[in-house]
Amino acid sequence: MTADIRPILGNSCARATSAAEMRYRIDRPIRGRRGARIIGLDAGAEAIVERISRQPWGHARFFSLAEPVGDVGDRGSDSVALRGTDGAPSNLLAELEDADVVIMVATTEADAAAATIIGAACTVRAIMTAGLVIGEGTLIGETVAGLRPHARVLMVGGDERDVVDLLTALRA
Amino acid sequence: MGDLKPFFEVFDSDGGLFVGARRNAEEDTYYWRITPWVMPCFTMVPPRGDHPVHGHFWIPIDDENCWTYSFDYHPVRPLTAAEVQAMKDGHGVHSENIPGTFRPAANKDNDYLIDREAQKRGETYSGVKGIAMQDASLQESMGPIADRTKEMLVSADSGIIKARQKLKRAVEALRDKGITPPGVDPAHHRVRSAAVVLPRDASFVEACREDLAVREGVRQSSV
Repeated sequence: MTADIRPILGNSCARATSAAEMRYRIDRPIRGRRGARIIGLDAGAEAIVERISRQPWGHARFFSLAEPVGDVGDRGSDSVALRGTDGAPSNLLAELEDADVVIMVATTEADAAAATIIGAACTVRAIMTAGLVIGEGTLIGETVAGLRPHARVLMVGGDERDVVDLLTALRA
Repeated sequence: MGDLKPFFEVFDSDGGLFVGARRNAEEDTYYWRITPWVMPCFTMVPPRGDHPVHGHFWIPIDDENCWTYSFDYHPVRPLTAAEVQAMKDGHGVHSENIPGTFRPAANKDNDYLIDREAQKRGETYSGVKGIAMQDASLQESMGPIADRTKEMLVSADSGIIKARQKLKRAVEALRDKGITPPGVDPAHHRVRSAAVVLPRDASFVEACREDLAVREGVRQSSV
């Protein structure tokens, strides 16, 4: 077969074949993500989320569970009480209003019922979810199994830097 | 495979990552397709049935170009004549090439032979024929050097995020401490992809420890 060879124009972005031709790319900074919510699901995760929240971020908001959820029952997203890392009270329903991604952070003994409610609430609102389970593999198995059905993506067994790298990549 | 919205799980491995994509299977089970990535540039597609196992690796030529190698093999038998011919014909992960060259017949100069009518008929979403060129067209059309500061990934890109993180850390460890990067040790390459059905509470890395390692004389784990 003979390929139909056409001249490559320098300003034809999709056909750029060299770094020099790449100068025609649109040179504007992207707008950051406006609705990232990061929620720690246990005491270890709460400490991690609190430390990370001190770094400079765009519009990301950081929370821990204000109280254990414990049992799913027929509870709705307004029943998951949250506490911002600045101490301000909130709840899941309010925080999902303008959220576009929810990141659940867990170590061991994560509140699986909270993960269930968060995951279900995000699913019906078409909000992306991610879970990061931090710690040694032998210690976090139960937490991973608890989060698995409720996070579209799970990153398993990493460390605190994984949270930072994920948030950075998401332009949080 | 009727479940079109897979969930992903990303695990560290000695040589890189295991990325598991899971879909709902029978009650209380998930169907997992597990892809190993070995640093810096080797991947293997999860198998299906007794089909050969496929994979790719990307070898830099210079700062702006690379060779992409695509392979098929079967762990316990030679490939059949039909399987070899399918590779040459550009099926599966392979490209049909311009005779006498390693350049795909569908390439950037001919808009990857995009077929708008096939798009309208709903035969392909992209209009580009075949997995290999669908992937290649997206990768190449980013240009030779993509400006990562202007991209915005989503949480489903966690495998990409983790891979970049591991590459960066390996470079820094080599530069600062002289630590040999993962992927140099041949043992890191003795991994396999797998396609399995597991109980919903099972960790695929734990449950598939043997399936994800090379076992001489044992076929790939596939359903």
